[in-house]
Amino acid sequence: MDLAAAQQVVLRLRARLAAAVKGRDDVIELVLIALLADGHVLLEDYPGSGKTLLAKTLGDSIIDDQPDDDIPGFRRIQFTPDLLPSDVTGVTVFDAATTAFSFRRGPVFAYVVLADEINRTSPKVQSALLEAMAEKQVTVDNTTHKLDALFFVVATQNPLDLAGTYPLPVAQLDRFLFKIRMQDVSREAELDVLLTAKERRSGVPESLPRVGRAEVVAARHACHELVHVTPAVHEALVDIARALRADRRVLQGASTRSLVMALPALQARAMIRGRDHVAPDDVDALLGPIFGHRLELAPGVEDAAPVIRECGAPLLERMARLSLQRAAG
Amino acid sequence: MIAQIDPAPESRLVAAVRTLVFAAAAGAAVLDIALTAGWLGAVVGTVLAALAAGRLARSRVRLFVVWAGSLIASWLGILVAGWLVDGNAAAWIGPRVALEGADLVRYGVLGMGAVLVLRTTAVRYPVFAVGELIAVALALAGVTAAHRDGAINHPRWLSDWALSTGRDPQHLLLAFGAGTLVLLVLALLRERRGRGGRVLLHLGSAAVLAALLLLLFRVLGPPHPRGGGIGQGAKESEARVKGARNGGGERGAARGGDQLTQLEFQDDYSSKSQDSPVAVVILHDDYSPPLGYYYFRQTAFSQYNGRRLVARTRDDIDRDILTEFPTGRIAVPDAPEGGESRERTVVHTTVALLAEHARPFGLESPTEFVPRDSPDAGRFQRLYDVTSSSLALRYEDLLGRRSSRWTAGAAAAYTGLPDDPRYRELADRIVQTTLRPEHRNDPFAQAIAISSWLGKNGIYSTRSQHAGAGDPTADFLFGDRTGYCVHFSHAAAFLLRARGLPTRIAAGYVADEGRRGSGSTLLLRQKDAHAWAELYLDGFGWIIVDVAPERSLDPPDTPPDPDLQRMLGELARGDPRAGKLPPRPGSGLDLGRIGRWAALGLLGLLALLYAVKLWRLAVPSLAGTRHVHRVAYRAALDRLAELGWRRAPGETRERFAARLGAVAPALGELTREHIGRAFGSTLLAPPEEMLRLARTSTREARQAAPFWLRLLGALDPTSWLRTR
Repeated sequence: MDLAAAQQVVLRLRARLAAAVKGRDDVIELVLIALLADGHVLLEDYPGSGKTLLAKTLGDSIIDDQPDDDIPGFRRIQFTPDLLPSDVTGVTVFDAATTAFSFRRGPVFAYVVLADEINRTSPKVQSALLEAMAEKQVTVDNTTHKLDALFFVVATQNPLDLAGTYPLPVAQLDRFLFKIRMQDVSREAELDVLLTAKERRSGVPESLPRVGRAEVVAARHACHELVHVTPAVHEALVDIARALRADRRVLQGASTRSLVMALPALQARAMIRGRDHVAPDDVDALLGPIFGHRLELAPGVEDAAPVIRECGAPLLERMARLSLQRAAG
Repeated sequence: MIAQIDPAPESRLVAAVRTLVFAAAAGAAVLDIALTAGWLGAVVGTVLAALAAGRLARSRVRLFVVWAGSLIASWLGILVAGWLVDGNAAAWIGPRVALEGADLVRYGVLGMGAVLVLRTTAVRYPVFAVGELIAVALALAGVTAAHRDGAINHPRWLSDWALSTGRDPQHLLLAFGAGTLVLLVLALLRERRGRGGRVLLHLGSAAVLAALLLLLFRVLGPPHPRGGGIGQGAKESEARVKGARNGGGERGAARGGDQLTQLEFQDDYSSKSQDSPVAVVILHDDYSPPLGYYYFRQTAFSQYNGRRLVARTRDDIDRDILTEFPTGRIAVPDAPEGGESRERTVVHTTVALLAEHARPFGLESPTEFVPRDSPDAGRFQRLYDVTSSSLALRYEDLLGRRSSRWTAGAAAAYTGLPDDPRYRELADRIVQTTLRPEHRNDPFAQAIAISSWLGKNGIYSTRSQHAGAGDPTADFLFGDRTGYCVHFSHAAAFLLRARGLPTRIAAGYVADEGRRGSGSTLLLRQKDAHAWAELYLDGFGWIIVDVAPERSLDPPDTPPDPDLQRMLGELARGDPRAGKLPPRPGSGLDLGRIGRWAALGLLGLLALLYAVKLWRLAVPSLAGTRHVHRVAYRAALDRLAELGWRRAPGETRERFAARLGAVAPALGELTREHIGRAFGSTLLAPPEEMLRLARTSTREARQAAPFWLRLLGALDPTSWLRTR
């Protein structure tokens, strides 16, 4: 699959998502970037802001081209304090008819998994899911079960109402490629939601084609292989991370893993924009979503965004100057 | 939209500049009063304080504590400095080290305290930043304080240089002031954190303002010193206020049209700004007065008004006093016979008035006034030639002359005096006791006797207590005999009149002959104003009878600066080389040459800038595939920078293109191709497409800009330097 075909796959997905979820184009793009970059996203927003709809439409838009494997396109796990790890991963049951133990798959066995209110459950359950996210496998009773290659988690949490929750520590947040804080939708978009409520009730119109699971996996592969990343971008990423670690307002900076995860994200964004190379603009746009949730800020510092902006500016400036230099041409 | 950049480096630059300004101001302020160590202490102290103050201001220390701490520290520093000099320390460490150490401590601590207080206050309450600016401005203005009172040859380091290069030091000083003004405005704007363009605009306005000031100076000329005279001119109101405070003696006595020419009794005649030069007199003949003093008569007071002598109201007396400036050649009426004689010699002088005067004056006994054009109308108010018939013989030769020329009316005017028998008694007693019988009826001998008696028994002081009395002269003469020239001249006049001799008081300026030195210029200052008595002798005219008190309560007079005297004299002569030294050969500082080279260098720089600008504009069409993506984009950026659109620091090129999306839509595509080339894209547009995109985006942007902006941008040689 070449880059243009891969871009078409993503654009088809985007069209379906945009038809279902109004006024969230930026969030949709980030979710698609995460899907292509083989990462997972954490959506942080108030109830009723379209998180579930987004995840569900995404799962619904991917055609299950392997009906035999018994893995559905979309599963939702509502996290509660009394949830057990086996409720997520699956459980080994004794079948009286065959007198043998067999593994019953849990809800993580799906293409798109919506982990709703992930901070409401105990750390034990959280880590079970996080293992699945990191390793793409679950281990039950010493038996390891592979998850699907297209395993993609959309987790949500409520920024308010923290009573009785188990906030994810920074180390676990690190497993998510993006933490997306959904902004308030504009007035027009909200109005649009109401106006189109009736037609959207019957789901995304059939005129918008779905994409196959294999197509998504191939697009992912094309994105990794074909989008060029110059050393200048690598240097900028490393230097921004170093600047963030050196900043007084940051207690714990971004991990090396986050840099490794950032590369496919940058490539994915470039591909969605129809480019075959990562540009400074990609770095500029993704700095916030990538690093925002990975920094542990010093006491008294509320917002990571200005810190990231200030640490990134000199490197962005350096990249901008680079392009006018003779050696770059 | 525009990325915020880290403010740290910029504020560090500002802090450095501010520290430098503080150090310069402190150094300038103590330059004239401190030893080298003190100067060093002040500079180092202010630098340290400026560095520490920012941190201190952001700490939790209360402002009150900073103020109190600084005050106490300054006080302690002064104490320590005093102890170093006066205490036992000097014995241990030697006087030189003690003096230098004391200066170091004193000025170091003072500078540190002042800057700490000013800076912390300004940081906590930005409105008080003006305090800092005022302090800096005062310190810088202090450098030129020596220039006050018309001393155009001070401060020497500035004036000497200016004069040696043929410039008027006043212009330089004005430029100095204007420059300071611009700096202050700039600093104020800096405090307001204006944006770059705004600051430039304001700086430009400040520069225009300064240039206007200079132009105004050029047109209106330098400020003039106030008029001089005894209790005359600008001192009039001051004297009235003082008189009122002292009991209202002389209040209102001198009102009216002739107030500039009336004598006043004042209890406090001392004044601080009396050093201002008011006139320059150039002697064209080598004349040495027999009395040792040059007298310049401006006016005379002859008529007794019941209290003192005032200017004439009759037409038949004092006709030799001109009441206005001549418009053409004018011969003085009632003047002594012109031409050389045994008693008188002809002296030609030129008088140049620096200050406004009500009437002309000339060397004693002027016979002719001729107005002349001022060589420097801005500096000299008026210029006129005077021909005088000046005294040429010794006093002994004046004995034996009568004074009976006047008609009865005029004689009565010249002999009016208070109805007080004590005058006559005292006059008779002086004549009886000091003169031999054959001289007792000789007018001139009596005048000498009375003036020398007054000189022996009077005490000169500019502070006295007579103005409140009904007859101040009697209060002076029969009291403590302490007063200044107004008292002495009145006393002499009344005593002579008591002997029946026609006497008047003349007022003007007096200058010691020694002041002239070997030159021919006399500088008259406000404090040279004087009043003296004059006696009329038949066949001779008015002879000066000046009292020279032997005792004085005032400090001795200081002569005027000889350099200033010489310089003003040369200026008054209209000498083209006035005040200037001939250019020193081989000094290397040939300003004209430097100016030409500088102009040439500037032109070369300008040409280079235009060449680069044109090259960058033209090179895209010459460039090959390898470079066209870069240079075409750069050319488009150059054109945008001409029109004032440029990328902000930290802004990505894509964001910049998006920002200009409404103005130049094609820039987005151009940027994309340019970035693609730089960041490893394999799908590149052909060179022709790049050129087309660059041209399109330039055209779009130019269509959005007004004509004048396009013109200015095209002419601006530095526009490409702003491309980012």
